[in-house]
Amino acid sequence: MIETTVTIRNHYGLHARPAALFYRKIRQYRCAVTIQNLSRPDSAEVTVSPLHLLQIGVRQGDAVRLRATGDDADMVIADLMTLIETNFGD
Amino acid sequence: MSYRLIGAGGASGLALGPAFLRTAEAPVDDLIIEGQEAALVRLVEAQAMVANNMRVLAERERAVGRDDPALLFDFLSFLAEDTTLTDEITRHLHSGVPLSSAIDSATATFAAQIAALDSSYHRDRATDIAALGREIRAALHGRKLALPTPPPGSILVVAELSPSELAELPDDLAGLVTADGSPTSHTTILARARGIPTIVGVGRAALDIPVDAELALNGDEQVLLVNPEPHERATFLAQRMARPQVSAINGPTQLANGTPITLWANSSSPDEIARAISHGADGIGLFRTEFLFLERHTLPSEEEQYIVYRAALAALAGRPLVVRTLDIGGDKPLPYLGLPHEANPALGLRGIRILLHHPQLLVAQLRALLRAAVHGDLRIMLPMVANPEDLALGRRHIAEVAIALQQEGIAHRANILFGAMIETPAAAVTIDLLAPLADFFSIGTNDLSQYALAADRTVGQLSQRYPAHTPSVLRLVDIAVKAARSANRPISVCGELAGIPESAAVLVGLGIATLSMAPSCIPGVSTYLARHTADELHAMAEQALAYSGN
Repeated sequence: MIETTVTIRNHYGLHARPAALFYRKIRQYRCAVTIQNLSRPDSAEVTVSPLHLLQIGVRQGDAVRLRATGDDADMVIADLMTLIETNFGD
Repeated sequence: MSYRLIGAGGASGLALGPAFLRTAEAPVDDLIIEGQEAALVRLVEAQAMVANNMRVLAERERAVGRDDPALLFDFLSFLAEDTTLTDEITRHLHSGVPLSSAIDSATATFAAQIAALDSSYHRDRATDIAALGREIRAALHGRKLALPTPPPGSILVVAELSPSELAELPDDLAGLVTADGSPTSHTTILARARGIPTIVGVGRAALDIPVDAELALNGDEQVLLVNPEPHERATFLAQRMARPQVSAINGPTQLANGTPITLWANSSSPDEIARAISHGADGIGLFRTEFLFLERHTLPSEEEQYIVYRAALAALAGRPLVVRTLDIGGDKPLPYLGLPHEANPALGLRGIRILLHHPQLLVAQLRALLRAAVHGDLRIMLPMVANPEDLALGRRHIAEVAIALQQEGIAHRANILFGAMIETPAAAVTIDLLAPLADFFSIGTNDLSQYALAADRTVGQLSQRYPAHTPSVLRLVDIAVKAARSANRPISVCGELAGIPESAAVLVGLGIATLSMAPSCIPGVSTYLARHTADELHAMAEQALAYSGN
């Protein structure tokens, strides 16, 4: 299992457009990815799905923990980090 | 009798046409499916159908180069097939309700959860989920969610509109009015991408528009005129004619006699700067910094702010960036600051006054600004200045920050232009006393008129009865301009008044040579000003000082 914690810098947080890019990236891989919004104490760890991404309400400045298990877990995490660090191309 | 409705947001453009009302909910008949297994199969098929429809829309948008709408439809296609949604609907189905009710309950549950979040961007997505529920219900019947096609040249009036319904609207639609919706809802974003003049968030009053009404829709100002009188209609058509068809202006703005005028844009985030320049802005005359502080738990660090200011300067490529220091207060609270709740926030701790409680806020911002100033023409202005002591306080902080940065050996620029917002009547009538402490002035007409007229401008009835374009406010501007000229200090206007062509003309007539406005207003103001000479504008100003005509 690969795990990483990262802060979302994107102006609007993780919804609609960034969420689409995020989820599309994960779909390219055959592994299970979970996300937890550490900045919301009542937010549980959930598998990454479009609805879950909206439910956990990631805002600009929130810290999230990503965990990936399965084939290419390290690669999917690396790809997601690139997306986050480039602010989803904004 | 004509009447006006005001919206919460919209997409720019002016449209005149007959209303096409579709305000009643289309009845959705219940589908009787025997057995939960069969229902589940139908559900998954319907979800797949909606997902496919959304993919088709995404590809269509992508094919014409509209990448952001395309990504939105990508997301909706993922959302339609989300197994989290299937599971929740199935859970409701197991409790014995019909499939259509299970879809409604499940989507309502998710929408309510998302609507409860403390982020307006996320809250807007709740309406997407609700719309998706309606899409899936229609798909159960093998149908798409579709509106009856509005006649060419008509203005569609609806309670709400799903993203797919908007994408399917014909190109010959003149305009769109919705009762629900916000400036960041997908309806607004898609309408902008399609270039449909739109007003959203008009409220329930939209539903009472008569069936045979004629509508004059101003998406720039989000004002809808229902059944305009002949003279209002003529004014509206003239306004539309004055609006340039192209979104950018050619060359610098000047009056008909050759007097140059500088047009700047107001901006609330670095993302908007490229758009401002493409609309012909010579710089950013009001860079609001609240976005850095809102919708988060902790203060933005100095480093984070520095990166944003530096990026804004890079996007401007040498053009000026006038940064307004944080203007926050009781009406826009920051939970993590623990500001006291105020009964009268407009007159309370806001703007520069926040410093009395939280000097560290300004210190971090000034440090970031002085550091970024090395990379371009950055200027600083203080909001809500009411007396010279406010300005002196700001000056002292800048000097202290510069000394500290010097001692720490951090690159910065200390000789920065420093100005005051003129938005209290007190400041407007004491420019001579403020001038020794300020390098420039910028009049914020929104607050200035609110304080001059004692009329809360967020109250619709009041803002109509007491418009800013009125002798009292214009006389304050006149006093300020004359005093600034005597003191040899530049003075500009950055309120909404600057973006309305007729008002901008009067401001120029009063002696203002720099106007800062929403980017979309620049082409219209530029074109309008170019048709008049300085003498004509001066005459217009003299007349406006005596009587507003409103």
